[in-house]
Amino acid sequence: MMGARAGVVALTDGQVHQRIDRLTAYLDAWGDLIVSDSGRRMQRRLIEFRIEAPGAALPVEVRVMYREYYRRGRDGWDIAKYHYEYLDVTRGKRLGYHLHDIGSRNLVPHAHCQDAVDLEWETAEGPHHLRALELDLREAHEEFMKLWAGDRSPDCESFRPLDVPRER
Amino acid sequence: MALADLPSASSADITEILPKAFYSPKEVADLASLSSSTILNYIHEGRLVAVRISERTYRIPRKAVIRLLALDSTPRVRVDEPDASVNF
Repeated sequence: MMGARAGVVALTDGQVHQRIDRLTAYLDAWGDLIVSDSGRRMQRRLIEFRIEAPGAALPVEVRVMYREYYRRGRDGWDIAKYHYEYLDVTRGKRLGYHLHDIGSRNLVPHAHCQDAVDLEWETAEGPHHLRALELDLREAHEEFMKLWAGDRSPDCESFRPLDVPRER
Repeated sequence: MALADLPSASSADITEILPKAFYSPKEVADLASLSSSTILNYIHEGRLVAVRISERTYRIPRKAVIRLLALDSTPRVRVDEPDASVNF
C-alpha cells in the first residue's frame, strides 16, 4: 500500500496541469505524441504520454510510453507509481524504469531491460527486476533519446539484479 | 521542392526534405537559413529541443525541426477523461 512519501511534495491540481503542459510541449518535439489525463475528478489519476518516433509519416523506430499514477491525498496529488518505457522497434529491445511495490516492499525503483518484439512491453514486469535509481520522467526520456540518437541498444548487461546476493 | 514552398508542405514533401530521424545543428541551420551558432543558442536557451550524444555533439529530432520551420501545424492529441475510473 502506497501513501504520501517522505520528502515528496504533493502536487496541486494546477501544478499537475502545468506539469502536463510543460511535458506535452517538450515531448511533442520527439515524434507523434498522444497525451491522456484520466481521473482528474476522482481519487486516482493516470497521466500518460505516448510517442511514436520519429513521427510525421516516417516508419516507427522507437516507441516510448510514460505513465504516472497519482492518488488524491490531503494536500493534493501524491505520486503512487510510474512506468517509463522505451522500445527500440528496430532492434527489438526494451528498457523500462518503474516505481511501484514489489511483494511486501513499498515503492521500489527498478529497471527492466530485455529483448522485446511485441506490444507486451507496455505492461510486462518480466522475470528480472534490475537495480535502478528513481528518475523523473524527463531524466528517463533524455536517457532513452540518447540511446536512440546515438544508435545504441540499451546495455542490459550493465544492470545489477535488484536483490543483492548476501554471503552467509 | 524549395524550402520557401514548405509552409504548405504535405507529409510527402516533408519526408522528402527531412528524411532522417535526427539532424545536426549545421544541417538545421542550413535548412532554416540561420547560423549554426544561432541554432546552438536556441538549444542552450531551451527554444529548440536536442539530445547531446557526446561532449560537443548535439542531435535535433526531426519533429523539432518541423516545428522550427513551421512546416506542420498538426495539433497534438490530448485526451481528457476527468471522470474515468483508474485502477491500480
